[in-house]
Amino acid sequence: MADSKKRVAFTQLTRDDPDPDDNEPEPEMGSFKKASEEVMATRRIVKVKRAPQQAAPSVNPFSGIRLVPPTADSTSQETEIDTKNVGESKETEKIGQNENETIKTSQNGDVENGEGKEIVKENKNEDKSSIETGEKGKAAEAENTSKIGTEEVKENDGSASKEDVESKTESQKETGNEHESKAGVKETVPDQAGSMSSFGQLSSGQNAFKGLAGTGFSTSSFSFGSGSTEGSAPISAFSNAGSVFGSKPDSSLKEVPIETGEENEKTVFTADAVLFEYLQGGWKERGKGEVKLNLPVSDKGKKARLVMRTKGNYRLVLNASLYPDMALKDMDKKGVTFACLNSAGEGEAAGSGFSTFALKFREGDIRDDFSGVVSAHKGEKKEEADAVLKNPENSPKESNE
Amino acid sequence: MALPNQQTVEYPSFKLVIVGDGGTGKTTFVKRHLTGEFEKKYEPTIGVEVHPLDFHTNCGKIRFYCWDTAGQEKFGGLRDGYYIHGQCAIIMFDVTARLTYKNVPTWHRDLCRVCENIPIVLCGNKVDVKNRQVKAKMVTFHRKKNLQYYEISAKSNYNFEKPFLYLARKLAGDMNLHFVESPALAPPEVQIDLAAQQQYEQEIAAAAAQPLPDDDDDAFD
Repeated sequence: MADSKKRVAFTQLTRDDPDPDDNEPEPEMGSFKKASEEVMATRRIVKVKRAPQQAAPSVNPFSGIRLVPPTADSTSQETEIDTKNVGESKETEKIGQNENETIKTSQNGDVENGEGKEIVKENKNEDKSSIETGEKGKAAEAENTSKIGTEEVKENDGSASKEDVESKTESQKETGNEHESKAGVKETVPDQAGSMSSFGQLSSGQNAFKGLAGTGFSTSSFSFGSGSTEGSAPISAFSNAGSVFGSKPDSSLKEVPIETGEENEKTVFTADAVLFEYLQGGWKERGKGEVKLNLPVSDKGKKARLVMRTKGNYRLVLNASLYPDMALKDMDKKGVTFACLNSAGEGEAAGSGFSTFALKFREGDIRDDFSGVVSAHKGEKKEEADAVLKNPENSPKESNE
Repeated sequence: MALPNQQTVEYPSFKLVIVGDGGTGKTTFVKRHLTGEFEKKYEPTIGVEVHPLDFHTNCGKIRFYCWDTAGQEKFGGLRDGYYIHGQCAIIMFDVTARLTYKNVPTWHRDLCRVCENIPIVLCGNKVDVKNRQVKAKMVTFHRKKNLQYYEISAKSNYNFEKPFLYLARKLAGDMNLHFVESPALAPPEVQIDLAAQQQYEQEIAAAAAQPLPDDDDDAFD
């Protein structure tokens, strides 16, 4: 594959972590290189005579037909294609293969196939046949590989493939006539892109192969065997994707104005922190995020408050008014603890009364800033409170900070 | 779908099924979202636990009923019986335990048998751990099945909201949906009497003596 970078993950998976999902065996890379033209010219292209197979299709003329896109059950067919790719000629039933002449024979077979398509084109007015998926695949393959197919090969194959086509013609129902003709045309201009596009056209009747054309098949058309086995992945992915997108989106969801509840407040302190709550003798984390100290902008009756939401999901974890007697106590590790009436959270602690919390900051300095700013804003009614209370208990806790 | 003890809500709510091998952190993940705490203790879930989990989005509030299912087979309870009418799912595995990734296809298959074509997120949890066994590039299952994959850490909160965000977007059919700050209504005035005040101060003193959990040095990453 040309885009080897993209393929790395697949290779990694195969080697380090054999894919557990594979019900089907890992596709072997059935790619082959075609020899250069000169080399091909020196080779003798052998036409393997077809065994009297003509009877076979007529015995079961529908044996080749696949009404559904090949998915799970397509293994046999894919193998068929694969083997062809590796070098057997057209019909798998054909046993008497010349195994030595792998490439040549495959060439032969492929061209034969392509030639067959051409004949199909000629016959197409009477030809109501649809070439079933696998056959289409062959056609595409044929286009790919028949670049340097020589005339005599074509001629040689003409007869054989004609039989083949005839059998198809009899046996198969109509669909993509024009595809076939295109295939035939394309065969004369067999560059890879061309064949790819014709492949796409070919397969347009059977969308099972669309995924192939789009993804796994990419640039190297010769690895058709492997490509097609990979094809099962895109196919399922596609069906899955389609349904995901088709899965009734909840249309009741519309954009709504966002209210933070802090519209009439100004933030005088903000810092990243971790919030803990003291429960049953231990600290429970309540969230990481930004803690803010908000002051009311207009409403004088309101109090300063602490607001904290977690990062990521913006869940409110701290929402508590400051109060004049609020005491803060420094802790180890840049923490500070205090008691407050936290109205955040819908859980057990919500508004159930006072609880002891702690904030851990990134730096001790930030903690000190926090304590300072809280102390500065907690006690607007401080004098009043002092005047009312005038208790000695008030003094020691102020000295706490 | 709703349980008898669940109050129904007037905003959209979805049944979310969370599956995966035992010990991969499903419960911890849900708990992290629910209460913010990070539970280190391993207590296998028996059967299933259902928790409503609300998110505020630019399209209003939505709720996931998180069906946190047992990962351990022996506590499986109804197993795929819990999947019925699931509208979205999270498959969790543990990147520090290869076997949990190997079992992902099984979970996926079982899930898809019951819930066809629901949005599914694959989550590789515990990515905060230094020597992981399942490297990111080894995770390929989601590509075949068109799942979304996220590396998450319930401990460090890395990506911890992403699975919900993805599912919310899919369910809403709006890929621009995003979470917004949940509203902070004005908290009540604090009325406090002296006795209570003293009590709190004692508790603060006791609490201050108790060191804060120290295990998250990466809290501010």
